[in-house]
Amino acid sequence: MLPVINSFSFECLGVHIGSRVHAGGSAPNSATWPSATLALGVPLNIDRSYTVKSTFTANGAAAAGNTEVSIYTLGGLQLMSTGAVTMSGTNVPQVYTLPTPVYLSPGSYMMFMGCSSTTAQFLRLSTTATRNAKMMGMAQIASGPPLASQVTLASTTSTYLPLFGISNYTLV
Amino acid sequence: MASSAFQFPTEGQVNYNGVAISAGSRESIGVPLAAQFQVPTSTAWPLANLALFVPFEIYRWWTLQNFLAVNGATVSGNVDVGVYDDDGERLVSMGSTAQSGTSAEQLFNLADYPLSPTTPNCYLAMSMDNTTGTVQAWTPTAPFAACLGVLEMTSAFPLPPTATFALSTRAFIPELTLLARSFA
Repeated sequence: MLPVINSFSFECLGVHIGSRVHAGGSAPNSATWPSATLALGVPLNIDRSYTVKSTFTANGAAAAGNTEVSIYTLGGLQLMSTGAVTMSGTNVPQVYTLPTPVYLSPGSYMMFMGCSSTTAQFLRLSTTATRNAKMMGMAQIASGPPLASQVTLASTTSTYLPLFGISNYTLV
Repeated sequence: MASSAFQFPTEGQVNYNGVAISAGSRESIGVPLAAQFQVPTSTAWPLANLALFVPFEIYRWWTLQNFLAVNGATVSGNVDVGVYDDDGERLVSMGSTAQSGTSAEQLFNLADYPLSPTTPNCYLAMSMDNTTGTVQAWTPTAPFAACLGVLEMTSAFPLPPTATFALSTRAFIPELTLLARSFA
């Protein structure tokens, strides 16, 4: 695995995107977050142990509200979270260094990004249809940030696929 | 930036390095690059003496023989190419070389260099001493490149023995390839 894993990586939805979205797809662009206090999740499959030292969001043309990056088990138990972080900076990656690195063993997880504001913009891909997002295994949490430590993961109702991720460096 | 510890592959992993390790390949950032639905185009180097570093992973012993970059419609000045580890230490580089040949690949015949799985996380590196020369590059909207782990260093021509990494601020990812074989 590369040090940086993002939602478009092999470990997440990269291959799915290429096979499902390409025909109707367009390049990622800055777009407003689809719904306040919504978190969108992508599968995270890692075949080796991985230590999360930092997270990042790909901030777009407008910053507003709070963001949160979190990792859950498939059963909805929170393993790691940045907590609510004030969104800062436009058209840059916003990096958050975890106070304590979090170890993930090989396996399947869900990696979530949440935002409190529909004014905020992020670099994102449109899945063009909600069914594409569902078929790739995307999920959502209807409340957060802040995200709860135990949640019920729901199937996504959005076509919004944000670029965000984790790193085992402190410099994305 | 601390080195990642070597981890023995486990059964069932599809971990291999092909003949060509490219910015567009599985060992590098090829998968997320494909998700941005753009192909490389001829683009001027973004800043004189800027070095860009594209991450890739080594799964097993792999001997580097050649380095390829693809020149665009205009060539100018000098370029340098090489490989760094994730501590920013230069493993191998070509040294300053005149950019030569428009709209064609330029081969850099490096001394054979064995890349080791004990240093699994490395970087393809390229630097150019001017902004007139063009190369084939992906130009995704910022901060896409940084979110893929692409790094940069200013005032880095020729490529220095030790790089000071910073997140790339450019909408620019050069098309670079390492080859394990020389092809006539």
